[in-house]
Amino acid sequence: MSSGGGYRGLQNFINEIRQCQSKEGERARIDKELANIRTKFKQDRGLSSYEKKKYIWKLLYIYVLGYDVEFGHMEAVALISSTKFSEKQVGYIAASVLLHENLEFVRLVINTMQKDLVSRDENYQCMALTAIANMGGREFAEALSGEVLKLLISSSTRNVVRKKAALCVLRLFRRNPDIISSDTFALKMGNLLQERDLGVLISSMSLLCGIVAKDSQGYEVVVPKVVAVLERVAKGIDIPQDYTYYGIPSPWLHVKCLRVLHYFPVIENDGVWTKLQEILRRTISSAPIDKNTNKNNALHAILFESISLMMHLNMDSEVLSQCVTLLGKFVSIKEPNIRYLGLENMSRLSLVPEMMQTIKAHQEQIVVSLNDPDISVRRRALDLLFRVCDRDNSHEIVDKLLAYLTTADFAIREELALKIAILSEKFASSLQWYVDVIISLIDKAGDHVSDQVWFRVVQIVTNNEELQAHCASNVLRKLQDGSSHETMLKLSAYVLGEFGQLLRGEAREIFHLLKDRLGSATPAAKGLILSAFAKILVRCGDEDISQQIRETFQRYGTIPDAELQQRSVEYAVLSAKKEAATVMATMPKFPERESSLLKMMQPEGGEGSLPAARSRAGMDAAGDALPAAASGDLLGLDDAIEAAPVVPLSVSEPAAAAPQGDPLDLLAGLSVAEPTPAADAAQASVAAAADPFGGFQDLTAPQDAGGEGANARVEGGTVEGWYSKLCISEKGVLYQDQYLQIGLKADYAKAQGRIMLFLGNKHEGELGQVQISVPPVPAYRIQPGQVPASIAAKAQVQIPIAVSCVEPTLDVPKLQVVYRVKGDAVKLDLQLPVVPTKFFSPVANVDANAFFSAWKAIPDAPLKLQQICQTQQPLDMNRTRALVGSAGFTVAEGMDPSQSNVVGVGAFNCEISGETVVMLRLEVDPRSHQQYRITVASNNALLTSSTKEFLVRELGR
Amino acid sequence: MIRCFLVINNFGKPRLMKFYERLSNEERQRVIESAYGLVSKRLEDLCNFVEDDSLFGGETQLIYRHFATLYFIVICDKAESELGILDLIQVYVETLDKSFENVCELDIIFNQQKAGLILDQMVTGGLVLETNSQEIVSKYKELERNMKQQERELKSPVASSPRTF
Repeated sequence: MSSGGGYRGLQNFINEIRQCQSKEGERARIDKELANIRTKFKQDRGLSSYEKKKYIWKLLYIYVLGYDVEFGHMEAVALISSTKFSEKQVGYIAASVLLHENLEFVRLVINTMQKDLVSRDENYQCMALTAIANMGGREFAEALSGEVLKLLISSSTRNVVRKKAALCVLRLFRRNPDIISSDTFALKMGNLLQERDLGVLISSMSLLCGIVAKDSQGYEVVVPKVVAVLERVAKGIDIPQDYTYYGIPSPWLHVKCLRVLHYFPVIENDGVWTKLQEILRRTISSAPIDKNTNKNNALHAILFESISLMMHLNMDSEVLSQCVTLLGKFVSIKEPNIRYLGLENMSRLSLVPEMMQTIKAHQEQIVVSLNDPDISVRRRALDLLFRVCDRDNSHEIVDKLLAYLTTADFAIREELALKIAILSEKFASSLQWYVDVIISLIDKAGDHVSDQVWFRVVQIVTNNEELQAHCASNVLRKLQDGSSHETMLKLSAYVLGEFGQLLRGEAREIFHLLKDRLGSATPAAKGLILSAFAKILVRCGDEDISQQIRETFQRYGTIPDAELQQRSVEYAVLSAKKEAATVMATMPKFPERESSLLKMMQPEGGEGSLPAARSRAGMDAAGDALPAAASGDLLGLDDAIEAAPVVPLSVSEPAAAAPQGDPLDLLAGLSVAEPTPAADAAQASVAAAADPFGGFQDLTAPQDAGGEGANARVEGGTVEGWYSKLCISEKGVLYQDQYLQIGLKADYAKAQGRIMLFLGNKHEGELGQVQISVPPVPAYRIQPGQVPASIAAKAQVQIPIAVSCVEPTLDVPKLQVVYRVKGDAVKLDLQLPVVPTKFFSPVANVDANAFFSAWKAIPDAPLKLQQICQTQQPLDMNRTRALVGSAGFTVAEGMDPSQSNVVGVGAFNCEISGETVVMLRLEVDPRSHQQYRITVASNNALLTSSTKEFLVRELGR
Repeated sequence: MIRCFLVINNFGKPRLMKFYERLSNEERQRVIESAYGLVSKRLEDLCNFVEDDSLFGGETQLIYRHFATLYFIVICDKAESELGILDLIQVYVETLDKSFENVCELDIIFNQQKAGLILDQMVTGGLVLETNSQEIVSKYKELERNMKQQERELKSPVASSPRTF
């Protein structure tokens, strides 16, 4: 295997490919070659060994260039079974590159692999082991794990084989954890760790690491052995020269040992614990900086891993402070890798509450890193600043971040904008500061600021008179400076319309600034500008401006956009009436409610994008930084949904302010209703996006609602799956990870429900600081019972939750569960399976006549909703009927003559409107069973839509 | 765990790839392209780590070193020590250097199998197998001897067979 592997044809081919001038030329040359190889493989005359290998190498080369070489797989497989070493070698190499797990081919090679494993030839054994480890595969785990384990443990195995076997076992274990059990394997693992050869130790340590990462239970006996190996490398005892890297005894083994210890919650043996502490302290105190980059890297790899372990083991804060000081030095170091890792590790340390003060001492250096030439470092710095921000330093940090915003990379602006919005709200020292920050934020990064943010500003300013003039002059200045981003425009139009008159003598200026931007504004912003004009028109006495505004209304009174046209016409008529002043008066204060931004912060879960609140006591509570009077919520999703139907409904109501006999009566009613705060915001937000949370959702709400910290992993199902099952049944599992299982049993009667949660501790230790909370949802009254502070090992506690349904809703109540395990807080964001159909009571004796007359009496949308849906799987009619039944409906058999249709009736109960009948008709396509039309009718639009949404979701599963 | 080990040249041409995870050819090409896109934009004196969740999903990191015309790229999960991986790349390059005598891009192009076999001696199934450069070289030499021996046995048919193109 000299140059080109000794294959002249291969070498020539590579040369030709390299000489291709264009991608097309390369493609043509490769196609030609593939055709050639295909014929060669097909021809009757058998290929010589040399040819076979050559063609496989060519195929591999072609594959690396990104072309498909599927047809060569069989040849590769055939080579593996060859008795010639060189052919087998090529076959294995090709197989591990070309074949993936679960392919038919994989099964073909298992037999040969088995033979190679038991052969006496260690080269064959090695080849087979490498291929198995690289390809993995459940089939391998089943068929070959016995042989591989034998090779790992047998005393006659040579080291070169043994170390490969160790990694191979790990790969198979990952595919099928049942191949080893801790009762028997822990001791064998211990023996492997007594090995002298460092090569074997490295791979055995990797194997151990992989096993305990999954579950360390049962492997505690090996901890002393791991620490012994650690001591050996840390002190450089008996390390062959070959295993030193720039003079350092195998840094990989050192790091691996430290990493393994991470997975054990506590070190029980006192002697071992003392020894480990001593090793770690020595690493910290002897942290030198070497001139040679490679040596430096290795030393720091050990150092960073040690710091991370010390944090995990909760070593005393004096040592941890020493770590922070060390990291602080690294942050300002020239070597970029160390800067990056210094920041990253500092972020990790910031999770230890006592460390915050020490880390804050380095704030200035961290801020400097925001301007680092390297985006990787900048991201780390941003993340760290976000974590260390609190009320004491929020002004400084937010100012820095705002200044950074204008120069920041586009890639991180969105994240940055969100972080500024959250920090400024969370740690606001005064409302004025908050408002100013947000206005600058919108000005600088309007694209990345969602509507919620400006709604919030409007709400705060409306509720706090002292801010109004300040805010108006602030936005006016921004407009004068040329700001014309859509979000800025919406905010300015609203604020100037409401409070512009507080700025004396600026009316003309305000009008012109807005008018200049009217033409190019989006329809949503245009609407707000028109509303602002209406207010200006009524309040300002300037005849010239009034005239221009009237002209504007006239012009917009004929444009195709119905919404704007209507607004203009109404405003024009309204402003001429004597009631205009009342109608256009300043908005009333908003009702007090929780801030939606902070609400969004609460369900923050696992992804770690905003981990500041994690394990920092009191941080969540810091949301009350804003005075309660200001924390109204015109921004929430709830309002958007609840308020939306209000607008069309008010059309038919006689408007109090509109005089009788006017042809615009009905519409005037709308315009009076329209500027109510909730409706206005709702309209704007509905217009803004189907997802009113915009970019926030991704960053704050966990996708899978899983746990965080302590490596809590969801087991035995998915959170979504359990939730969905519980929506149509009354008991089952709600959540499960390796520490905690939550079971649920529920009982509903009319508008009341009683849920019992069963919290079972699955783990050997205690689960501490257990907390359960249900954030308030307006439509339900939910009262969780007493929660014990901790759950003892293997114990179960029951927590009752009382639920009453106040009104129908699309909201699903959240359930937040927090517990502490192994020193880490785990926070779960789950959903309570409380949906409107739970409050359905059965209807006895469904009478066909009564049903049809009720069905006809209900008009169209929004009370009667229809949707046509496709399903991936054909719907089984029996299952569908059962589902409709378990969702709370009484299935009216025989009402619809067609077998593939289902008709159901349910009586929904709630406190506000008592009993409401909900009717359902489901028509399934009798041929394909993959398409259906669902119609739901009731006298409550929200009830209809929530029931329909729910059924569509369940049927789609 | 290491998810893949890539060697890509300055123009984005892959020279060596080893995936330790099951990916289709299209997915592999996408990973190669985006990895190249990330590292090729970076200046020389920046750090050797890049984060991009779009590569393999969250919790992965890209660690690379740039030598002359080649980028050596490792994509791995957060359980690997960043600097440890950098050292591993260094050992790989040093080992290539020992076995090729001043390795350059052409050596890897024309000796894919050799470069791949050496990598197999260092990383197996996404985990570090051996870091002792000497041991890797001698293991490889042993393999080579075995191959050579077989080549000799097969010498006669090779000599007589005509050039393929």
